[in-house]
Amino acid sequence: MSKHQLSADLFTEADQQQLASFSCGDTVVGRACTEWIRGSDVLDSMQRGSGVWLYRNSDDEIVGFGSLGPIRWRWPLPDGDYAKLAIIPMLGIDERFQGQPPGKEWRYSRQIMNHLIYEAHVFSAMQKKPVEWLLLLVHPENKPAIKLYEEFDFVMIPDVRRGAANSCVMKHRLAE
Amino acid sequence: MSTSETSNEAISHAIPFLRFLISMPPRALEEFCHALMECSGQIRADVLQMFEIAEDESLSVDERGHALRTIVDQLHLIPDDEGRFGMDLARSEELAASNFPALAYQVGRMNLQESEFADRLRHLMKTKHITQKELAARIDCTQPAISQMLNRKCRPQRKTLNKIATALAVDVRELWPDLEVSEYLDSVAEFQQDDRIMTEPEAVALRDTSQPRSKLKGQPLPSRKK
Repeated sequence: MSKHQLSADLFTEADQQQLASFSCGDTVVGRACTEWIRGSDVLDSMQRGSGVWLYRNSDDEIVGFGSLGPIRWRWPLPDGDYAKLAIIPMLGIDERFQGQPPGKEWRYSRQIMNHLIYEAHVFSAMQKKPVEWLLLLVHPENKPAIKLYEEFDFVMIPDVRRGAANSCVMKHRLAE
Repeated sequence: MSTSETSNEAISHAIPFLRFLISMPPRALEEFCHALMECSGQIRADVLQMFEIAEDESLSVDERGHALRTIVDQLHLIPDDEGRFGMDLARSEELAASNFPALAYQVGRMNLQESEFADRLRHLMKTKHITQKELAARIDCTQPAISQMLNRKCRPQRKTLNKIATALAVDVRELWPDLEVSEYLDSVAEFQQDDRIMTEPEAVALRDTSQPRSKLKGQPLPSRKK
């Protein structure tokens, strides 16, 4: 096993004490990621049914976090029926580990994305009707993240912007 | 029902309350009125109802005493170590933060944001030679409200920030740089809301089966705890 292999463990509120020095950087998105995992947003998300994982390297350092949750949105009227979807509410990597390690095979961001997609399949398999779409929100100026998601078969939904932050929505059609 | 009937009914409800107020020592009366003004409309209505019970001589002493204790609880009328009544927001935040790490972080951030905002606002007002009174007039509020913001006694709402930014001819981010972070987090929280009706472009995108299914199945990661 490579020394760059991450481990994934479900996050609990008690883990927040270990995140005192965790920081995803000083950009708007970086600060939002840090605030999300260190503040109350992560707990709110978990209350809504999200699973949140902390990723650690072989030195037991916290490299990042990821989350996956269910949502039930309604189709526009006159249909009005519910659609069950999976979403990645937030993921972040500590700034010390961004772009690490060199080489794509063990890149932390890729390991995290692969893990979240795997968890989305686990979640889908537990539903009566398989979940077709995995969605995520991305800041329009976060070009490296958009590029990463595209490599994982996420496609930008055109003409959709969410909230005052003008965030974009990307969709991934889960494998059968 | 006539107006006079309504007034009579209102007065009869108010009599026990007024009788209680008259009987209070001046300092306690001041604290009580302050607490009553700050509480929600629902609590205020409950308190007035409790006064009627407390004054109802047909009820037992226990029942009337219970009503009075409810009023004390609802309005936080138990004085603190320094004899002050009412809820101390800063102290309650401090207490909550000591028990929950997420709240400690949140409270720390909020304090920092408020302090940075106050510093920035003070600096901009000084640079632009604008007094508190002038700024208040420009944004249609009172001078004490501006003073409270400068002394970190209140957290400005988004619309107030926009008004101040316009009044000072600066970008709102100059006053509150974390605004974009808050907006982004709000959009994430809103994205997770169940029962939302999709917009037409979202529905079109999620009904579109021309996008092939991904071949990726992902990979599990080992658990450190296991």
